[in-house]
Amino acid sequence: MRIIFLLPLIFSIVGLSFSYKLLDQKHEDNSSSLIWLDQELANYRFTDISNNETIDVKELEYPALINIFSSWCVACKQEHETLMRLAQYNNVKLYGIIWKDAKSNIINYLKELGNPYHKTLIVDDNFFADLAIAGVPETILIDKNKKIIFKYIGPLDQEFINVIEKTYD
Amino acid sequence: MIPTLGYFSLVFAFIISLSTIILPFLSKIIGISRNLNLSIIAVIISFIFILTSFFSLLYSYIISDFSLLNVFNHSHTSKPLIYKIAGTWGNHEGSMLLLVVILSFISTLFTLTSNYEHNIKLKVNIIQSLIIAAFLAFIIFTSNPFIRLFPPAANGLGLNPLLQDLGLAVHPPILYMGYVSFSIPFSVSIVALLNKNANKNWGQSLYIWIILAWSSLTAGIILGSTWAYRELGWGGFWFWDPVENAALIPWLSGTALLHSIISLKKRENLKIWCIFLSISTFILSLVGTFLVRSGIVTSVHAFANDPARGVFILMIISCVTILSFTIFALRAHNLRSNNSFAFWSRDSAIISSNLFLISCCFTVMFGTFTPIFYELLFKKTISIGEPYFTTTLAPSVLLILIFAAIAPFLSWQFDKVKRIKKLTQMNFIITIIVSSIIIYLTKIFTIFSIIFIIAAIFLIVSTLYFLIKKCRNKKTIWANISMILAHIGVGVLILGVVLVANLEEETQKFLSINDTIKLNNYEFKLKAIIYEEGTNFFTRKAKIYVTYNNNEITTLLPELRIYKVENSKTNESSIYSTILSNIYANIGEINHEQKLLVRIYYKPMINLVWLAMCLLILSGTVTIIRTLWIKYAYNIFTTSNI
Repeated sequence: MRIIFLLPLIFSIVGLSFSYKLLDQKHEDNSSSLIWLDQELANYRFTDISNNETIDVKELEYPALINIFSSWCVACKQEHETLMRLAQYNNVKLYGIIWKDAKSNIINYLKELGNPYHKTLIVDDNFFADLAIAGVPETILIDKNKKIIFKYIGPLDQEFINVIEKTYD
Repeated sequence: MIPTLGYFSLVFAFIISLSTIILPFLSKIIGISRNLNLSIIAVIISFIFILTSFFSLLYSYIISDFSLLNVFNHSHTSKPLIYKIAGTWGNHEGSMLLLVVILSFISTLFTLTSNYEHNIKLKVNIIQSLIIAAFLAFIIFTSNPFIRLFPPAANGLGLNPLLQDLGLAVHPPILYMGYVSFSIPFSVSIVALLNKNANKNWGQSLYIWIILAWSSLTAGIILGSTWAYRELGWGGFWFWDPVENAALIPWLSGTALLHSIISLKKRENLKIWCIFLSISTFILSLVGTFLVRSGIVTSVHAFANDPARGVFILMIISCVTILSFTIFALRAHNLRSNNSFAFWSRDSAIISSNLFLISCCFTVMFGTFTPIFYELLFKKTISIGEPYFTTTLAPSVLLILIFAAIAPFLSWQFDKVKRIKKLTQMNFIITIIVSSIIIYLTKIFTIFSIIFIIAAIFLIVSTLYFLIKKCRNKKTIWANISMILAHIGVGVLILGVVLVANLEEETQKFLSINDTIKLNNYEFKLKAIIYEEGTNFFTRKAKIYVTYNNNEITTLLPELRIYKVENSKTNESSIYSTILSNIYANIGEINHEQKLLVRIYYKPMINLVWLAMCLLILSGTVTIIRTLWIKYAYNIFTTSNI
């Protein structure tokens, strides 16, 4: 038996063990991650879903946390409790942006679970494209100078709140 | 009643398939030939049971039986009948059932029609049955489509609107046909390892099964990309999405197998290599399924995210991989080929092109899996996109084109360099002339693109030259026709892709009524926005007049559909195609100034890509029909002699 014929077996065992590890990780749902950005916020126009008024980027209050969510997303429900806690914290304003969802769904969703958002907004696809948003939930932190500090992919947790509180106290 | 029948049929099929494993032990008691009959009967009966099960699910979908959870989740009474039927496999459970139906069908087809001797057939039947049993266990334990909903719902939740398209009705069955058909070369190779025998006849009999698998996989991938072109509204047909790559990876290794098996059936070369490729191609097909089903990657294709399913499929893959590669490691050295060949020979050309195909395969695998593993190891996400794939694949693809052009002229075993030079000289001159004309007309001046245009034209010209020069009579034409079609297809595909990538133009703008945008001498005028209601959706249509140098040529009607039940949107692009180009329009949202977002893509020469895809599908089909024809004629011939 030549050693070369063993190679496929060895490679596949390595690959398989990686895959098992990967699945385990998915189980724990450790898929949250933070990406540091240093980017000016461009000009966008938002529509407030409560009164259909258009709002310019300049009219938002900063520092702001912009949470992108939808009613059909399971991880968004998971982080909702955290968002409710964040809402009580006044130094940072929390805005919600709807991702691929109907307005009526969102209104029902917020009625059912409570509304943590200062304002809930609709924005066109350019916004998502510029910030490379590929899914929900994602949360963006924008500072007083309208600079995007980071985006956080995945559901928020208590640790995240602690960091925000420490920074803006 | 009917769903219960479906469920129990599944369980019976599972028991029958699993029970084939005792057949080898029976052989000591009963004779070998009876064993074969038993295994054939087992395969056929389990196929009938699986088919019954599939039809009962189909029936539940057609009558909209909302006492089934699966139907409730994925169907709705307002859906047109065709999508109710297609909806059967438009969800995880149903599509797995379809996969098993096709797997079982191909096993039955193999056992009834293949040319192998009894001893091989028996073992192949057993291996196929065990694979079927593994998938049935997967369905029964983790994704049972027959789970009841009590009390029954009044109406269903609907089907993902992206999937409400005719492409969906045909794309998955054919793609699955490709995936699971590679199980036949797999099983046959394992048997060859066990029997320590793989000769010319073995290769000859396997050839048609590889062709069948390769053609279905090709057709499946092509249908998928045309679906993406029409339905996703991104203006392209290939996005290097992990799930697309998951189909491309086995396609590349399958293509390598398709070429090396020719060397085996003609010259008894490359035995171990063919067996290795057969095993890996099937495993890679399974990995493709795993990627889609486990929720490790998210994309339009991944509709189920249950970790338990991922673990189960991974267990199936582990068993198959470890068992088969262990047998390979233990037995492969018994199958050495002793035929020698020179550097300048068709054998060596096939080996080289195989190596380049496999390097492409690894490149795509690397690009697909690295982001996943990187996230695991470093907790950071990276994305690998189109630039990586085009730059890293380019050298291999270029060499493949050149080898594909020259290889058919080479003779087996050894050839003279002078002869090849003489043969290709003429082609090369024609190539240079034709490419210069194309480059002059299209004004493409990047070196990278020019090289690829030349290589693609060289392949097309050489293959046509081969057709004229070498195929003098009917017999040689028939023997080479699929190679000629496929090689021209690949040449045209690469040419088309390069031209489209260089010449395409796109623009987008918010328009109010009677506003215009210009793109490449075309002028687009938004005439009206129409709101309509379809059977299960509302639609916003834009009426766009297209004029070319002030001559009106057509009206485009792109739509944005909002599906009532599912409350989500799909883009229906409108495409105006002429021989030379496609004009592709789709619309987006209406902004606060009541202007409508219109996107226009001008895609010249895209028809070359579609033509190439037709040629590739045709090439496989021709071989299958021809083999059937020979088999049929041969049967008549032999029976009349008796």
